[in-house]
Amino acid sequence: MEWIETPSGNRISVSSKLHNKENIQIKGNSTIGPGVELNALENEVSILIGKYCYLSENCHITPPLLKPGVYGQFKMGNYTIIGKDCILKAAAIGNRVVIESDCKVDELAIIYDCCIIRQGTIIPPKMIIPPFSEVRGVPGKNFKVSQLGTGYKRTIEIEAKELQILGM
Amino acid sequence: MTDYTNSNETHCVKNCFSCPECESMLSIRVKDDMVEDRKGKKFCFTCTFCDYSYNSEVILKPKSVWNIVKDEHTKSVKDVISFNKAKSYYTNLLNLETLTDQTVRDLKLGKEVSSPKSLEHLKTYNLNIDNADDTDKLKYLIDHMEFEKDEYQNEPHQNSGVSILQNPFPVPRKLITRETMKCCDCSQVLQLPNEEMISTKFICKFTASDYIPTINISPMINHSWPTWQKGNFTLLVNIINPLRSSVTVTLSSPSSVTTGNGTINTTIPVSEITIGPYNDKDHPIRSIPTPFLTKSTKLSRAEIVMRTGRIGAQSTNQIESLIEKSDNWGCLPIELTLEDTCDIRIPIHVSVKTKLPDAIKSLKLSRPELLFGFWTVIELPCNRD
Repeated sequence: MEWIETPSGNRISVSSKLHNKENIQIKGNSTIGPGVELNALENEVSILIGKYCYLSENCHITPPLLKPGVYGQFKMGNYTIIGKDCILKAAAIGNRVVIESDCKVDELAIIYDCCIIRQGTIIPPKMIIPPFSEVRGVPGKNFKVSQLGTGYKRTIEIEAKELQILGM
Repeated sequence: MTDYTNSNETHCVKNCFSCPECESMLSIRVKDDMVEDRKGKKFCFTCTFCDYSYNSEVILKPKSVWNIVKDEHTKSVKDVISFNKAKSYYTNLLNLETLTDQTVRDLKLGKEVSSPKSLEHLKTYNLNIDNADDTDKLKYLIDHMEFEKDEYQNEPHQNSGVSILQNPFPVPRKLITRETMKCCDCSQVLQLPNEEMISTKFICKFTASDYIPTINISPMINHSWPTWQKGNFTLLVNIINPLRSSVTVTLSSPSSVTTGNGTINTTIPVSEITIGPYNDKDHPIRSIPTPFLTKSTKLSRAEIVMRTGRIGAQSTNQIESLIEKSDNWGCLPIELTLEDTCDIRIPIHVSVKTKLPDAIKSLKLSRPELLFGFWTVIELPCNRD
């Protein structure tokens, strides 16, 4: 597996696809895994990724569709971990968020800080997930938002740092 | 972040509604419409995820979306009550009309009926007659039904726009809040959130994970996980100190543990270790125990080479070579003897001794040091995939 390492500490897999990469901002110490697809817009900075973020294999990130033909910005905070095969079209994902594998975050959803999105969860469009929440399930079937302990704030941060240092 | 009153009265004052079927957000559109030759507005709620939709009545006077939905819900409830009354009335009427025996005719004419046989017969029609003395009750029922009939005929459905079988109403989003927690015994504040609305910072926070060392089990450095068959195995217990002061950790475990498949004998050759403080200004890699370092990144590879060289230079005997400690972590060996192939499940008691952290010192407790213990269980399945 080949990686490109930038001076700011970012590790970007050679097999990842960054469309309009001049309009993607990554703060530093973040990892873009193999097969990840970042679809930035042509004219403006539309994908912003914080520090110590970890994007696992085959994630797809697209800026949210505001109205037909008009796209907004996708913002991701610091210390955020995205699992394999996730599709993200959210407006914002906060700091210290863990999104486990096979999740889908629909258009214009907002996930605030310190949240855990469990495996296979679908977050519907425009949904707002409050801070310190654990989310699981599919809307209409078993969707559930429950409270997350405040101790996870530190735990997620350490996990994100370790992932950046240790890799997969 | 929960609804602090657990009632339906705490809701978002803006236009935040969720779908009653899938809990997704509803998008709201406003349309111009006419009712009785007057211009008004109609609100259309559409679920962003499923097929749910709801259209309000035409609104002639301005009011909040929440009040529009609430009023229509109240009207609908009245309609349902009215419908149920009418249904009950006609069901009872049908039951009575089908009774062609003399008893009912006598009852309707106002004659007193005392025959238990006739009353038993009436029971088969689900009329509420408990015993032979309840003839007055039956008469009251008939009179009451006449009253209901009048009431129903005097109040026809005025809100024909609201159907009883209409979709469920949009649900206003409940409020969420941040919580302050206090000790049940001494009322000491354990968790106090910052005043800023969406901040996740805390003015005061006593979380166990900030004080309790993290305990992990790993194979020896440069070794992979063994297969758990009959024999002797040496593993490493890794202890990571989260505190800003050094801690003395003592491990102890039962000498033998019986699991479902067999017996495991455990030995901890060196049970006590003093670990240095956590310093958040250090590079994060310094807080990672050597057994967890990988060869996936340049940084991690370089750190492995540096640390293994250091261990080799320091070790004098076999046991000492297994004990390793750095800034805020340490490793102690644990030896296992398995009598047969089995899942490993070993309880370990961890006792921790350190000086009082500043946050606790400010509480002015009489204790000179922080001393606590806890149990942790090492679980290693037989087949590690």
